[in-house]
Amino acid sequence: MAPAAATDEEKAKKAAEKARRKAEFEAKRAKEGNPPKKKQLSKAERRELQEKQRADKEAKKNPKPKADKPPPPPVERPTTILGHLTKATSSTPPADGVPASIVELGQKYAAGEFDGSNDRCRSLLDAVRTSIKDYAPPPDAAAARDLDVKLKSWASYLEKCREPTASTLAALKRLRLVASTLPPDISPSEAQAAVETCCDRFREERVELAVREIGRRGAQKIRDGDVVVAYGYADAVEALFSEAVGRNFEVVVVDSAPAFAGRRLLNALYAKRVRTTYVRLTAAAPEIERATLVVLGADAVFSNGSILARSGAFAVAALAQRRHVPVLVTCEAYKCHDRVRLDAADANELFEFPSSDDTPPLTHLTYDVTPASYVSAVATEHGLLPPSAVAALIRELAEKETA
Amino acid sequence: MTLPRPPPPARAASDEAWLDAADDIRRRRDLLVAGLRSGDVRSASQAALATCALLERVAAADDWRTAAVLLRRLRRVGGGVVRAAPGALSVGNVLRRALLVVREEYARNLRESTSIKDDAGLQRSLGDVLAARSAPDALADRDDRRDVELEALRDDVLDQLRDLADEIANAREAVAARAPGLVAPGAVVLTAGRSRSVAAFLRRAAPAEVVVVDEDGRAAAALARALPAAAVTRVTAAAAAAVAGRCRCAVLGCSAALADGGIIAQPGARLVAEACAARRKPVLALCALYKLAPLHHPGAAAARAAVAADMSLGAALPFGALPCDAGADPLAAPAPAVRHPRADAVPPDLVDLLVTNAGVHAPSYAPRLLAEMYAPEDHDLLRAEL
Repeated sequence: MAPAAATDEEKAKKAAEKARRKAEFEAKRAKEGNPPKKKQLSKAERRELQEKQRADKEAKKNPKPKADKPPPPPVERPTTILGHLTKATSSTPPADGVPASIVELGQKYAAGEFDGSNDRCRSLLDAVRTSIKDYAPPPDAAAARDLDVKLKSWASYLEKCREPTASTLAALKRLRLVASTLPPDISPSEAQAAVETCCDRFREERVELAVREIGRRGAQKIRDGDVVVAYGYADAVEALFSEAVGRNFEVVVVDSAPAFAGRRLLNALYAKRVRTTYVRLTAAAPEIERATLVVLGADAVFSNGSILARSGAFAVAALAQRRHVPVLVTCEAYKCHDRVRLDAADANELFEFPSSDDTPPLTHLTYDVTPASYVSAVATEHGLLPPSAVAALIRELAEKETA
Repeated sequence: MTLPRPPPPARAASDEAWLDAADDIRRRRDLLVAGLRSGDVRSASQAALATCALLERVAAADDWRTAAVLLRRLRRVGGGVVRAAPGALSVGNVLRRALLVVREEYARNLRESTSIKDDAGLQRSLGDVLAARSAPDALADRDDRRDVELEALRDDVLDQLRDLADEIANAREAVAARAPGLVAPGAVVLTAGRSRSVAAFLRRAAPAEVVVVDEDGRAAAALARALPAAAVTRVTAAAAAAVAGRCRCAVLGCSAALADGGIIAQPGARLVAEACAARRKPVLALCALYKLAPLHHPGAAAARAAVAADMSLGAALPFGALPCDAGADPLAAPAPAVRHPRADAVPPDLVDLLVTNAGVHAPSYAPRLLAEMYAPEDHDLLRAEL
């Protein structure tokens, strides 16, 4: 490390080394077909290049129509405000390696069966339970590992049949968590049993028990003389009214095309001798004006407190807010979802019902997004919460799940 | 509870005799009532035109001499229709307009006939002096009997009634002419139900797309025929709030506008207006002046009648009977009450603009329009007759 001490001999040696390296480098470059050009450009050539670059720049600024170049293909734009939504079709994707009960469920999904997220979840758990009975792991793979892969493939098949709901996503997440944490040396029959237990427990704890608990907690809000407006059908809403039977209240069932799911609620209430009124959504305003409470079911509650529910729910909530009628949304905690949807028209299930030639087809969207400001309280099995508290609930439940 | 009616004035007997003798007018009145009740005369414009023609007949008869008699006859014939079909609000509106026409023409004719005479010949009361009213006006006002016989009155009244009929017939196009400037060409417009006013308006507005809340399909088919250049999307009532956010504005037809600026429109109009309010989208109500009634909802019985008449159960329940109707034990529970009003009352705070054939107004301007069009004593047409 003493450059001052370097002798002339060493200097010459270094220079020779440098020359050698340079020659090597030049040879390599020539071989690669990338000759050094900068130095070889004459002044005239440089000028020529500069002129060319200037001309290019000018052409870019003022593009001239080129006759020989074909115009770019027109961009496909949605022509109508709902043109970006894909229409729900009743066809199912090819099912290879998917068990029969899952295929059957997929066909039902595609046909638009099951009204409501709880029913979607129950049917999924049933189908998984049936499929797992016939499950035999491949001889070369461990059961625990294979089970998770299978569940994933079933889920993706069902997703292609119909957009998943928050409820089915939560159930599948739970199932896959259980499958992926099984001990690697577990026997197939033990793995099956573990999945079956998971299905049963999820259904009993997260769905059925939650419905009953929401009914019990929500019913405390119904007093004698109340007129309660309910829209469509929801398990928890039915449970809530069943719990309140004996008090003197009236239920206005608001219903809408095309499913008219409110008939199910109406029948249940009729059987329990609850006084009822039945109106269509277009006639809901005068009923809401005399109401003391509005109860809505939900397909999901997002982390920002907005509600994904049966389409029409937003209009009912807006009518209620104008009249200062409180809006109670029932939502089982497993449907609380950390994804957010801003607007119902951004992403939705779109159904088209064809009609005669000169009449445009009837378009229906499955879901409505109701902003949190229209909701007085969200009734979950953990209590009645303000919509702003849903984010905290989601986080606490996620922590409990992984613990 | 009904108050005992005051004994009818002596001259009512002669009116009774007149209507019994006037076969043609009685027949036309009964025809209109039957049409309104059966639904053959469905739209507000049909009802208004038919009423106008009927009242023109009454005025054209040559056996009346004074305005007082004509006013009584108009009230009698028109009031009969109003009483028989209270929900058809435009009938009452046209009657009010006709009554005002007679009063104004009487006052004008009287003024013209007396203006050649000296004012000094008329006694002016202290009240008149303080109110600074001119003498002929004071005369017309004081002379409640309106029994001065004026030669030109019949022709003048008939002229005015014909103008009124023209106004009603041309109102739809006059309202539609307001479209440019309110709705930009190429916009997306939301509407509900079937309305010829809306179709005419949108033909002028030339929107790129019309989203119509219409479950039975008739409104959408009519709009698609009227607007060949626009895309027509028919949506369910449930989807109205979801699509409202993507529209520029809502355009609603109506069968009546009320004294507070609210409207009475087809079922679903309130829902669309509420969805638009939630999405901060303006709501335009197309309302020809003959639809503007000096009534409040739900205060006035006639306004309630216009809204609350239930449609048939079949229209309410497209799926047939409710399942709990079939085979249910009738003693178990009271059957569900099914309500299906044939119209929707939209309160004024959900309406941004009233587009009339006279101009574009905020709903809060409605009382002013009413004051210009009707005399306050005609607001209640079913009052004990004068």
